[in-house]
Amino acid sequence: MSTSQTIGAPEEATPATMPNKRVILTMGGKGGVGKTTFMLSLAEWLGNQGMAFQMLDLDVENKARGSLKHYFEGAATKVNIHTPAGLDAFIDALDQGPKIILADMGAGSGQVAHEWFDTMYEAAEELGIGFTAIGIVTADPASVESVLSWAKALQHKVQYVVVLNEAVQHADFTYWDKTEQAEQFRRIFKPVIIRMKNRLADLENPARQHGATLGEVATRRANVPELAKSSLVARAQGYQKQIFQELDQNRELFLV
Amino acid sequence: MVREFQAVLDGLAGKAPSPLEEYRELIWELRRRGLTYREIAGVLADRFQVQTDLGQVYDVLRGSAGRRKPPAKRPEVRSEGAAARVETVPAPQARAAIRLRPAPAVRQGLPVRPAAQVRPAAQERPVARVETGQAPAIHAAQPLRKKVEKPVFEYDENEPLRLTGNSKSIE
Repeated sequence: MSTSQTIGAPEEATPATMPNKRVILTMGGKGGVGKTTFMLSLAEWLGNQGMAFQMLDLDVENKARGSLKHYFEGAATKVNIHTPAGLDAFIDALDQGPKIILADMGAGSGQVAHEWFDTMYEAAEELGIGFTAIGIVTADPASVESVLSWAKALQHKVQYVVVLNEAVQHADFTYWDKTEQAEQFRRIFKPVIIRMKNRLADLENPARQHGATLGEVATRRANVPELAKSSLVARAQGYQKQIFQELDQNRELFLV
Repeated sequence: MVREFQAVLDGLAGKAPSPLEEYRELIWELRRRGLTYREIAGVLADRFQVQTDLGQVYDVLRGSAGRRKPPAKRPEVRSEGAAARVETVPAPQARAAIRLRPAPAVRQGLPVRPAAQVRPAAQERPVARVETGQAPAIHAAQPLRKKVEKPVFEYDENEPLRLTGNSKSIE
């Protein structure tokens, strides 16, 4: 007989000690830092792990190219978070489908997200939902400030992953590496740090334009002539291998 | 109790019951049939003109305690025999789900044979009593788990980022 006994209640109403479902969300405060780019790689990595997941595109500003839905038409669900229910989509989606959600939050989604966590976090936690928050940092100090603002609001409700996006070669992360506020953030939350290498514009721009993922280019499935060059295919393979290795090393933050 | 305190308590009205209490059984059945919390809220609005939200529906399913947790009662532990016995007594109608974590010995892979017995009862709050055997030493060695206060991250958005090693701000 099991030591675990559920009495006349749906399983999800039981208090959980460990998350058995996970929401991986980008901390969407600063636009154009590479949130969707990282989420695309994460989606492909999860697929590579054989994990079922659902993608929620909550980026209401990024309506066309560059949004998660643009890359995964039909697989990514667009959600308008500016409704009274807000981010309840997290709970409902996990209620009905896979145990992992990738939520690409748009720029300016902070207030809605912070209010939702204030009111619904406890219920979500009891449903066994754990949260991994992805902060993307570039050389731009505004990207660091954005991560810190989210952390101030979310505190210990989430586990933090900070992606250092080398959007340009020899990117300078002084504002992340050597400021008191960022140091305090690292000391308190001990975030996992992942590096995302600078990618060639010759690859990144047409891929974005045509909604082709790194994996599609790397395996010649992009069906875009300018992305079929062997040099770009090799580049894509290299970029994907690097980011997959980073994710492999921190898999416990992305799986259930 | 200090008389003034008692006077304050006497003057306070009790917390009003949730307007969803009378729909508890319906909510329960809808949930059992697989409707999401949001869909249940929709049914209540459509059929009964009861405006509610996902959180309130969830609270009703959890029981009248709502989202506020009462202080956790420490399980009474007795060491006798080889078997572990777990008794849970649900509150009336609350039907709160109770999941008990395995005993430390179970988590450590030691041979503890658990058994669970569920006994419905009325007019009682949930009580958990755990009896375990073969691992008294382990239980005795387990330090009481203290709740660790996590440090709060403070950040002022109006302050510029400050370089470490000097007090000069980066503007």
